[in-house]
Amino acid sequence: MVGNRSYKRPDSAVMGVIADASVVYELLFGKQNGEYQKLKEMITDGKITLRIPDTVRYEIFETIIKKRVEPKYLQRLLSLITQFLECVTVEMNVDQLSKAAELCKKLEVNLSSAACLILATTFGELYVTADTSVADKLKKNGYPVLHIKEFFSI
Amino acid sequence: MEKERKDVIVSFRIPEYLKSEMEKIDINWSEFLREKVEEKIKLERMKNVWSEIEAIRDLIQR
Repeated sequence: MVGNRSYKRPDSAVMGVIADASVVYELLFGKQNGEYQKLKEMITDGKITLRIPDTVRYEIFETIIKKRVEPKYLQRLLSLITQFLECVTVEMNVDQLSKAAELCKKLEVNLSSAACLILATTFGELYVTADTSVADKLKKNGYPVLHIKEFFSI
Repeated sequence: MEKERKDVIVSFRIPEYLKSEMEKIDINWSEFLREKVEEKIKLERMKNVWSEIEAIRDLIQR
């Protein structure tokens, strides 16, 4: 696979993004700064297609459950997050999952990051993460990944 | 078990010139429009869910 430093965002075409839990979490609960707000608008306006592998779904749930949220809000929140994730989740097939497992072992990254890489390759889309260590490690190994800050700058 | 799909007919008005342009292109317009409608519904659903999530997030973060 080739690195993507020369990637330019297409002007009018819909761009596909495969995101991991770090990006989805920031989108949902991070500081609502200009960049994430803009990304959110691009997604809901259909200018960017956001996809996540089903493995990422459980990571997001886990993070939310660990948050200190009153039960009355938590139940509603989980239901809404489920509805949201249903719109963006891609179910991976056996072949994709086994490739992700191989990659996970080879690169020593978690299964979700490996799954994102496999999906990005399958759809010919960008894998975007907000996790600097994952981005650095994958880049070092020549995989196409962008840190969210780089994504905002293209 | 997957739900049996029952199709219905939806009609809408478009300018005459657009209809003649459509006829020049050999694609399955029903399929194309079905996909576009599905996409739009998904985006609108996402928008609504997102604003509800934001409302709860603001309550929690208070």
